[in-house]
Amino acid sequence: MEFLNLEAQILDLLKYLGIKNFRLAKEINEMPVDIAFVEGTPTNREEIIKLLKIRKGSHILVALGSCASTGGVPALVNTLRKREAMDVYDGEPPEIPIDPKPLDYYVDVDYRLYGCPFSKDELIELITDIIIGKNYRDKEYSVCVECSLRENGCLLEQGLLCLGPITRGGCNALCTANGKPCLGCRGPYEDANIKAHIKVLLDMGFSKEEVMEALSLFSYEKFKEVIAWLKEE
Amino acid sequence: MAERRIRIGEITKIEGHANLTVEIGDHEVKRVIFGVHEGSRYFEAFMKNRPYYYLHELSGRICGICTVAHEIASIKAVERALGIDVPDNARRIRELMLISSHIQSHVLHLYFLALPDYVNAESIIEIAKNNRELVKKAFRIKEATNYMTALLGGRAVQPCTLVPGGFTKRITSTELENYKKKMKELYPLLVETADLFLQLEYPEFERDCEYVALWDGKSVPLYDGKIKSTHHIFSEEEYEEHLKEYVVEYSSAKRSLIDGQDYMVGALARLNINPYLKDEAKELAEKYGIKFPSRKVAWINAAQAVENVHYALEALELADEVEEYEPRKSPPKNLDGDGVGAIEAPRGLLIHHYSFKNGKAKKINIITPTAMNTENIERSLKDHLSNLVDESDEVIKMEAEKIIRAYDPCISCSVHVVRTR
Repeated sequence: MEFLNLEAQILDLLKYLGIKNFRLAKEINEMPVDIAFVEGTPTNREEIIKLLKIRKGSHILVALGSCASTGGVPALVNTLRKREAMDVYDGEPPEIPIDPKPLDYYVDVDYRLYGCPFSKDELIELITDIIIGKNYRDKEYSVCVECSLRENGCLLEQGLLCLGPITRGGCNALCTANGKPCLGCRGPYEDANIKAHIKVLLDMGFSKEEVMEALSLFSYEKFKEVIAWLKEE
Repeated sequence: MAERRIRIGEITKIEGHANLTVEIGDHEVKRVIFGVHEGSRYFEAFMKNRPYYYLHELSGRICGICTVAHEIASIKAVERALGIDVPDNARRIRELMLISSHIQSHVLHLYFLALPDYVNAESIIEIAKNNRELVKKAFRIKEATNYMTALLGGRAVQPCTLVPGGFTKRITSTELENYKKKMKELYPLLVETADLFLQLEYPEFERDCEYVALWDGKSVPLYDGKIKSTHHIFSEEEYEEHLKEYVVEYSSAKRSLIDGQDYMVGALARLNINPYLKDEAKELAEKYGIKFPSRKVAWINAAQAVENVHYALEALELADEVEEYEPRKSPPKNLDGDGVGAIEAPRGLLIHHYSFKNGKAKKINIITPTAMNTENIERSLKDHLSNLVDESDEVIKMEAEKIIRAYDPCISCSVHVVRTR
């Protein structure tokens, strides 16, 4: 969906690549393809099989957005016992729920575009890099870097529970620039000092529960070990 | 036993994954199955026990198209439940956001999903090869409406400024002026779009059913009103007494009936229930012989095109009344409570209903427009295809897809969870 929000830029992109398979916009959809963009994460068996087929039928597989790259919001269901989840069906679900996982749990993923929604600038950057043969790399720095560059006031200093210091940059600190604390929709970057930031938040007076709640929202799959540690602490 | 079985394994050009099976025997349509095979996503399960201030963040992620609508409905339910004050000015700004995101969604549906059916093209990409200007125009409108939503919401998809009580940021008079300026620029393009979509040859098929939409007796409301159907009128809080949800075994999406009847929500339902179109929009429609109320299902497309013009004018009037917004604290008056937020999403009525204990959600119920429309889609298909049983599989498939696409279904929304209770 967000792909179509590239708007007129799509017409420019079409000079360099064709769209072979796009069920949302096309009647005739073909495989194999050079680059497959996969949005979302499998939530049933059929979708896992579909993902495996897409991997087989593509040279490059890109995980597009939070759900595909980190498990995203749907992975919150993994905080529940299966029994609790199935309770909404009165214990008789049409199929046993499957834990939403990042796509790389099932298949090799070549590139990831983080965020909910992912950044359109990063998508253009990635496609351009692929076309010109440059190596696209994940941003291994925090949202704080971009937030400081924009000279936003620090939301932590205003007493808000912000995950900026441990969250992967690349969004140009959009939320914090709009006065909203970072909810971590892009997941942690590689060297993020998560435990140190948790300590900061606890020292600020947030409860363990509030911190766990915030960490679970978008990246439960990435934070679950540290959440388990925090629970024990 | 069915003599003929026509199946579309995956219906393209709709949001999400759905399939269709039509069984024909003895020259009549025996059964139509509009099945949804997307996995359930348990939103209503994992939103439970979350604090009130995160609910709109989570429910906004039910869908990638109507994120604005989900966030606003969610916030409205939270504010009602916990007694959080919202200034009138903030409400109006939310309405402006709803309007620009409505037009965005309608334009996406009309040009990208529906139009190929009526000009014999496989996709918008094929149309772009012969008529680049038309596609550019569609993108221009999308771009402009996304820009307007982002002015107020920080970004167009998953806006980040909406919070219970108002907005996280200051909304300046410059931003409001820019919104207005852009809408004025856009207006002629929306009229041209209506000119195009009011002239297309839609299937003549008509069907009686209940239409349901918000109603205030003077406008075509998006943000506030009572819920009105062809035969009933009730407050948002009373929705549970009238709208009954149920499931069928071949689909992972909920369905719903109003007082035992199938019903339609969305652009056509809004215009059928609310005969209060702006003169310009009404005259435009009448120029092409299109009048509401109408029972013609495929006129949902026409209704969307007319709504674009109507809501653009509405936004221009509304923007004149809006003042700068300063962020302010508005804490909940109570941490226990029950609240319903009903608004009009682009595809129709959307209801969020939460109960809280100590600021945490204990009960969550979300009814999406597509869940409301699904039963209606299936019955429309059965009636429409009954007139076409002697046609080839290709014709039947094409006609079925035209009807399904007219409803602009959003499957992702409909499978946010199934609840059998």
